[in-house]
Amino acid sequence: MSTPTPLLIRLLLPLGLIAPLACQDTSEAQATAQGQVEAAPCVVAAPSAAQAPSVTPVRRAAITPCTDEEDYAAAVAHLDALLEAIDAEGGE
Amino acid sequence: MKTSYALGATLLLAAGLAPSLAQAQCLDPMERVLFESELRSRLNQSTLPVEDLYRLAVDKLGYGLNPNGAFTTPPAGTRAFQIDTLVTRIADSLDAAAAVRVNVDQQLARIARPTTPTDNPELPVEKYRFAATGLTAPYTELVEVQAELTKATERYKALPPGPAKDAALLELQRVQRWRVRVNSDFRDVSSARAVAMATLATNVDLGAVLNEFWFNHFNVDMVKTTWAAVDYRKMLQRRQCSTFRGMLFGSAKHPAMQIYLDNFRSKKGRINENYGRELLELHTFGDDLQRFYNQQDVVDAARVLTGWSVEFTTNADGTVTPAFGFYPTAHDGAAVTMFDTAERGTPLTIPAGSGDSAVHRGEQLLTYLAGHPQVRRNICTKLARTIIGRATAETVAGCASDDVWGAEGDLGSIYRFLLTRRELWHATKDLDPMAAQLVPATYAVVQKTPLELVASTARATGIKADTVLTVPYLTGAVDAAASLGVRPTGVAPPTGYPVGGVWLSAGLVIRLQQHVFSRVPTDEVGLSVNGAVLKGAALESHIQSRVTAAGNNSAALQAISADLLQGALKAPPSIALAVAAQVGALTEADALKSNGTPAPARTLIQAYLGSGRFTRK
Repeated sequence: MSTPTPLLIRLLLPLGLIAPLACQDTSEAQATAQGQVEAAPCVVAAPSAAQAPSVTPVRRAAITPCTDEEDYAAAVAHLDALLEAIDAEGGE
Repeated sequence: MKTSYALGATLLLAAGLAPSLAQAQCLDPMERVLFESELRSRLNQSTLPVEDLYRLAVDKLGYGLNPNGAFTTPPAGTRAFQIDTLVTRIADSLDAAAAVRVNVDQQLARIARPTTPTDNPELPVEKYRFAATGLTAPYTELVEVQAELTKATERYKALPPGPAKDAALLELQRVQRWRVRVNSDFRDVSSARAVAMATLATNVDLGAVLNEFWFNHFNVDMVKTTWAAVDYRKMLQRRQCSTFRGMLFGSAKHPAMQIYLDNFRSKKGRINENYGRELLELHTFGDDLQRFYNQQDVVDAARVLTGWSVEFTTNADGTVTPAFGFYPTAHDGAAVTMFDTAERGTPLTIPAGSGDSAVHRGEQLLTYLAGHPQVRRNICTKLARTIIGRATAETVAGCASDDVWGAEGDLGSIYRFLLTRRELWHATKDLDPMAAQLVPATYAVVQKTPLELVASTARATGIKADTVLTVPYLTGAVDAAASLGVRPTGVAPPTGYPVGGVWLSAGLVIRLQQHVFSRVPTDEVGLSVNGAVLKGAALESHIQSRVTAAGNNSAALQAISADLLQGALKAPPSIALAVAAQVGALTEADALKSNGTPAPARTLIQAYLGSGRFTRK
């Protein structure tokens, strides 16, 4: 059974397909400066630790959800990148 | 909105409601009684021999006769009993039309590729592993391999020239090949699955026939949609007993269609018209002349559908599920009146909207289209051509009527109506004496499509399921269909391929047959002779006995052709003679040697498979 979560753009970040989204709120930035939480883009997710070890787990309470506009931009960029890769590589 | 969509789906699944919603029945018990009664009455009125009615059902409501399968010939008994049996079989097939053949998918998913590349041990040996999955597994695998590719690329770029960089380059190339192979697997499973479903269909299989129809109507190309194409085809099958509105909604919201016609990137102020245009031109109105809509309506449709895209949900196990997502900030929510300037348009006003609920603005357009009279006529015409072979004005009008179509296009009602039309079950001469003079066949007037040719050729020759369910066979079958003009699920234009087109030439017939003969041991290739499958030596022995008994080649060939056709259809003499002439031409030119050696079984089979009788339905 799936666990509904917001759009998980962070999944795409380690793939190099999109630029990181920066939508931390002020309190999170301050907390980061104080060493309480690690810096994190607005939405965090990874397929699994084994698949994307560069993604460091963070405290979800400190994460600001991405706006709808950011989600949309990231989803479109991701799908565009996949399509470009298909065009470039073709198949066997 | 995105969370509520996902949450809604979760709740439906938890409540066990999703399957029943997604997989509507074509027949409830009362409808079935009425349908069987009407169909029985229609068949009893037909002047065709009951063998012809059986073969007609197998050809038009399935992928041709498989002599190894069930339901090949009428059972012993009275004509009334034989017709009752046929009626039950057709009703059973319609009843199950929305059920995906899970058993075939599971078998496909277990097929190992002939050789696994040693340089990519990560590549699963199951080439068609995505046949039995939804969107999550293929998408997640793509993301995984993409992550590996990114890591390998970064490592290579970071290293200074030297042995380490050379090694990193080899590693990068290995991952690149891995990714190319994963993409190939996406495409291959999509095409191979379409071929397998048709080849392994039951002898009357409306589910398979309708699935191909709807996929072609709402066409996507698996080359562009890769990980989404198989799931898209299954989604269409699960909905093909619901309503036309349900099919429109399913197609419009599936990631495959969102990607194929670029709607995922269509946003306010920067619209992409591709989906809006094909929605109006191909999926609904079928109106090349743009009488019912115009270019402004295409633009407005695209605006109403802005913000319709794809979202990604992470599951508890770390996998990712793509699905439809609506993004309010990308949506152009201005009020619009559509179809008010087209020559024959009927205005539709969609009020302004914003926020999550603005997704209903696009749904309002789809609902309007599903009930439009011209949309009804277009869909009814296409369905009639597929199921019956022709679309008379009377049939189209009846299908498009409120009684049959309803408000949203009740597909079960539409299929029942078409399956009980007189022109489907009656001889050409009874329907149109003039046409009967030009078309000698009783009903076989439509050229089979490439998929139908490939599937029915394998079926007619009695190829076993174990042979079909292999990578070499399915690869060859897909290539054979492609050489005939249509790669299954790989048609790039949104029009799909034309039904009733002329696909064959002599050269292509030979190529098609070469596929069958090259993939299957000679002694496995057989033919239905007088209701039994004869193969290899047995078939040649049968031919020899006919030549000996007849005394001369011409008489022998007529006897042999009659054997063949009676096994499949008691055809008019003119057809039997036409086949005999082809057999004669081939055997005299090629196989009949000076010493009178009988025609090899292969030559006979080739002649039969190349005959006009076989290549039409």
